[in-house]
Amino acid sequence: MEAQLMSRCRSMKISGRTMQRGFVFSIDATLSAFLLMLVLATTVLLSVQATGDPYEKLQVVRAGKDALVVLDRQGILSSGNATMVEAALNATLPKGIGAHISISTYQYANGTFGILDMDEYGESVPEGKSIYGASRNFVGIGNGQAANYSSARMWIWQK
Amino acid sequence: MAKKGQGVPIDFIMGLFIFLFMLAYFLVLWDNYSQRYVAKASTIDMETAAIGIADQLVSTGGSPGNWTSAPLAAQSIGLAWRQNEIDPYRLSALSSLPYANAKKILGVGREFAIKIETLDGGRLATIGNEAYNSSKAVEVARAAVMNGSAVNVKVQIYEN
Repeated sequence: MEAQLMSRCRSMKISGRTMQRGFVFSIDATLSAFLLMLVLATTVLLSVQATGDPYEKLQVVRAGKDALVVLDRQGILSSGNATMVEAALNATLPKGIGAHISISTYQYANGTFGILDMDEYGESVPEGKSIYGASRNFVGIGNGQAANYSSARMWIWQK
Repeated sequence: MAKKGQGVPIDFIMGLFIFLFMLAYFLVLWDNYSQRYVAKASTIDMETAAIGIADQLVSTGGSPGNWTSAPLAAQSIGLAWRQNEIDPYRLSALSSLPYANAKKILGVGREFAIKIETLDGGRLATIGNEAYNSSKAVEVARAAVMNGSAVNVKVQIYEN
């Protein structure tokens, strides 16, 4: 063992360039470490892909759009009644999904749209979560004609 | 010369050992993940079918437009007379179809059940055979309106 060590030391002295030899070993180690990192990264990526639901976003967005349509068809969106809107929203959306709705109502007069009202319903939009969106435009009818125009925007997320 | 050469086989053996260790690790992982992927792919396949059928039911009226007059000759089935509004007449026409025909027209390769429920879970209609002790099942729910009330259209796809 000692003879082997001496032999190695001699071979390093012969060249007289110990730094360069060390550098070669460092490249080997760096390459190995790089390969190891690549393998680990691939493993983590595969495990993440294997556990995720590819339709998660689609389902949440569809739930939001459906809720807006249902609330509109039932005349709840245009009612302006916060209690009714929030109760209907909670009943229509699947459990585990949160939503916030903002409804802007406009009136058309003299060739321009002027904002009449803006109402907010539902929970506060959380931070640090994936938020999806849906929207629906509807017309308020009064005396058989369009009285106002509303735009509902929904922020929706998984709790 | 012989002593200097000894360093090379040691490096080689160590490298080979690490390589074989990593290869074995990879093979074990590959086997593990391929099994999980097969199971996942099957679930995703069922989920895709359920999402497609649910969307077709609540968004379309079916084809041809008057398929309810001859349900067996329908090319595709839809329950909506307009977006997210269920037509009870179309629903009863779908209910009248034998299970095998409904399955064929809907293009389902597995077993299925379509349930129309009120928002608090009261059952209004059931088409097909509901899953019972199934090995794998997925369910997709879509909100809609029927006769002025909010309902859930649930599509269940499962394997026995």
